[in-house]
Amino acid sequence: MKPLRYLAFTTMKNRLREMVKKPARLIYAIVLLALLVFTMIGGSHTGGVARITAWMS
Amino acid sequence: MREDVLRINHVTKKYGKTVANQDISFFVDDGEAAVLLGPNGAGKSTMIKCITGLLRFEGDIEICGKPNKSLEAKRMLGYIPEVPAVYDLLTVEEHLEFIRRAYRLEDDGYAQRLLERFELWDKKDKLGKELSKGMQQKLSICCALLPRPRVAVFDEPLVGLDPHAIRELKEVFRELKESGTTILISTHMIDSVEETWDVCHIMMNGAFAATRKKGESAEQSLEELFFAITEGGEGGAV
Repeated sequence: MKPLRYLAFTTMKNRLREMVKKPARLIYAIVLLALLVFTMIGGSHTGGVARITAWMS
Repeated sequence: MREDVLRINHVTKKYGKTVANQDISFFVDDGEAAVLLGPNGAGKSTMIKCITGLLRFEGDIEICGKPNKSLEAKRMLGYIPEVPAVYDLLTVEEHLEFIRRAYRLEDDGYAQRLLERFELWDKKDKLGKELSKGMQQKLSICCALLPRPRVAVFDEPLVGLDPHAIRELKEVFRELKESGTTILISTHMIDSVEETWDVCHIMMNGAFAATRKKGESAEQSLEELFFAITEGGEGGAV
């Protein structure tokens, strides 16, 4: 497993370096991450409201 | 007495209804250099891929007495594919480090010597995807030779290499032979293996059309025999 861990870690490290070198990719990654976070937050809020509405009725 | 390091027994490979290899049997002795020679589509690369365990086939293939798909056999095999397959996001040096870890090798400086030899040391920090095809091929060769394999299998190794790399690779063939490594080379370029080969199998339509051993007295040269088979359509003396 050690070689595979080395492969995964090194690939990730080089991918991050690439992103720093090419900001367009970094911006793309940030936007994607932001969308994901907003969706999660928005999704959990909707769920909360639904639960409260159900409890009130 | 020399032992058969590579033994191929009645191997047949079919792609649907197309027969790529038809009941092929041969063996390569310890320290011998065997060549699979043939035109495009003769079945050389398919044979090589069967030996390396990349394809399913009918028959048996043994490497140093072990089935070719076993871990012991794979440990003893070095494979240089026709199309170099390097990791896009690993640097040249990291490729060799990965191989070193995968094969649990000591860092004895052999990786650096290989890179220097193939003029890749100054590009050790370049990513795989930033290399030209020729450089990727050279890296692929370095990765295959790093574990010092007992059997080295080269599939069209000279395609895409510059003259310096071709000269170095021919020198590597010679050194591998001297060190007792068994070599199998698939190629359609006769002159590329002229100094190396001990036994040559000329392939045509998925089968051996002729086999020639070095030093055998023959009326035709290897080149003449090759063209007689591939252009004349006649079977050579086996």
